[in-house]
Amino acid sequence: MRGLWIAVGSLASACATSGPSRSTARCGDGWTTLTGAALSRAGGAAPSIEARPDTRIEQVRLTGAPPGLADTLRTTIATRPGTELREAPLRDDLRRLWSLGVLADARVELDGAIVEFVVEPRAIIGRVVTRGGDADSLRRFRWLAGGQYEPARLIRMAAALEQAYRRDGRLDAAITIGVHRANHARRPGEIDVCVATRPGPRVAIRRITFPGRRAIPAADLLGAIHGEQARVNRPGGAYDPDALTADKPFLGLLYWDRGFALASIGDPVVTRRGDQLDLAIPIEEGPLFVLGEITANAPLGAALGLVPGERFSRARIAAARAQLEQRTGATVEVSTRIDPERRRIDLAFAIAWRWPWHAWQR
Amino acid sequence: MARLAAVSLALVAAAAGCGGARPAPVLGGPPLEDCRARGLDVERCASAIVDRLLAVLAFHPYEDPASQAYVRRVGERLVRAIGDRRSWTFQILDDPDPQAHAGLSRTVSVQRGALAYLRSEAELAAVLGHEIGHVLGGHAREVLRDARDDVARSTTSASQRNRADLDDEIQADELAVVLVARAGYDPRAVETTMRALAATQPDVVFEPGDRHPPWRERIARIQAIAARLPPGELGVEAYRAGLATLVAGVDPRVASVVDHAAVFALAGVAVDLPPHRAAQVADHRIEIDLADGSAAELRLLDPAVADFYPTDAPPEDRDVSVAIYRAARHALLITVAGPRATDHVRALRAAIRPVRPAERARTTPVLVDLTAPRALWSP
Repeated sequence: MRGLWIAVGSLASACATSGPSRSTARCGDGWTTLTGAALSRAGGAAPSIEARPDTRIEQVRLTGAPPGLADTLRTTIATRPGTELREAPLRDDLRRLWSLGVLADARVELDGAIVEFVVEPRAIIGRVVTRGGDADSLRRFRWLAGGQYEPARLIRMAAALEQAYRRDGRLDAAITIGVHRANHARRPGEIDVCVATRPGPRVAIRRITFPGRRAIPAADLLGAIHGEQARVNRPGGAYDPDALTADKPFLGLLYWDRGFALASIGDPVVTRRGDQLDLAIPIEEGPLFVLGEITANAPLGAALGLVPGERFSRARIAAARAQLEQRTGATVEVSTRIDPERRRIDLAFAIAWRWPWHAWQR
Repeated sequence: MARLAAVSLALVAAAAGCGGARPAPVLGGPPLEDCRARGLDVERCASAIVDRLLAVLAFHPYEDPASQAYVRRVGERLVRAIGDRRSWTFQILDDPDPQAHAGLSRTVSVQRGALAYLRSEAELAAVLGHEIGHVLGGHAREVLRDARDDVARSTTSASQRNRADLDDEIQADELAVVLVARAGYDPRAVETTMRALAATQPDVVFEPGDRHPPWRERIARIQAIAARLPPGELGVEAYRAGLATLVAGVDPRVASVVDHAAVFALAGVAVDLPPHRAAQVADHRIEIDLADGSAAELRLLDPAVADFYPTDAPPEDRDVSVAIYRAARHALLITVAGPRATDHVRALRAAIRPVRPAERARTTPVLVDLTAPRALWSP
């Protein structure tokens, strides 16, 4: 078919991008390594309708899909006959078709007033072979045979398996996905997949230190890091950087509850020696703060239990606020004003009374 | 009831200690004494125990041996078709909601409500095949492992977990098509199954964080694979025959209030209720507001569970009293909360009697018409 065509890239070509694998997990000769970089080629050029934007569409066709799937794809296309080409939602239609996850390629061709969506369904995975790794970890891969060849999903699965290994302390774990077209005569259109796994040795944390720590015992800081049960981010356990990042606020809370309102927790510095890691989590404690002026938009007296001059504690302020809300049924907001020079923090309680507010004011 | 839930959790915690020195009594099957000593993987062992506990504590098996046997046969046919000779459990749960789920070990459950929307053995195979796919892929066990590792605490990991959940569903759908075809059924039945189940949840909008892809995507993916496979057997008549006694909606034989009696026709027991303000059926139990303000609950239990229920209320629960009555294949749990709990329990226990023919007649269930037309979702 001749005419204007709109390319949206081709995922089918993803498996054709061969290159040396940086991983030591190898499928062997004859396999093309699947990489995330190959997927970035999807997307392609934006549609262009400069040729004849005022053309009124007479017919919308879809070709390349088997009957059942074609029906579903057609219901996804919003472009209708009678629409001017400039107003046709061709780009959205292509995006919706892609989002179904079943197409290796899709484009729009224009032949006069006929719009044709040309699609190519994904190939089917033929055989799955595995190299290395344990059967249990690879069961998800083994059962891919017969399903759609979807490079992005394979890469996600490989990344998830690598991450699972890393959570188990195998920081050097590498998973490589290799693909090649199956024997066309016997299994036309099928793609064979190889999953090569190299778990690597288990690397354990030797010690965790907190450079800059003075006010809080190291054991307390260690206690604020989750992972006791799973033996993660503990001496003798595995290192999980994601989990440690999620724990940084908890370390910060310890300081805020002890008056160090400007304490900051840095990114861990990791030093590896063979199968052992040292983690150094830098801490800047900053100055100690006390409570300054405490104000409220209602007469609270000593009801808060907080006094100027006492050490700042986020937990005590939160508890006072919760108690106040419980006693009054009101909504209480607390705002703070930090005075770094005098090392004071002023508190302002804003109480949004709900009926019967006067009961409390009496 | 919070206390009953706490008892259940305590049982789970006690039995999950797989490699313990003392062989604890295990609910729902023979004991798995010491997993390590028997050379079994502890995680597998714990998975099997959790499935057994769920089976007796959380689920209610559908009491129809013929239907259960039929579903079991279809499930066996699917796993045998892929050369799997291991022992699997396929069961119907007595729940009118159209759901099915996979356990941590080789356990697949389909709820009675889902069966009512299907019209052929091939469609039943599709539902079972999807859940078998989850088991084969080890999906639930990975979720369990991630929960153990507290993965969701990290935002990045939680987002990846969500994407993995969607991928799990895609793989289970794909495997449903593959298994159905390998067992000789028509793979297009997976699509009609999906349309029938989608029709039970009309106008559902896909939200980020949903564990299942949108129906349109699921159907398209199934069509893409099924189109390349040869047609096979549908088994419409076999399905009708196999589930000829399938009950529609809530099964009144499980628990009903007939006049002033709580009737458990399946267990063959009824309880004449004392003066009360209200009595209502709720998920396999009857809740009663007694005249003096006390709250009573009558619930059928798996007899194996009954042994584990403490009938002596702990000191802090002086206002709660519990008794268990054992019938032929069931146990009836009587729980009362209130100032005269012990007296009420004693009175309810004394009011237990056999079900009368008139009560049995009034608790006759309505059967599903598997020849009736059904709605199919269209994109």
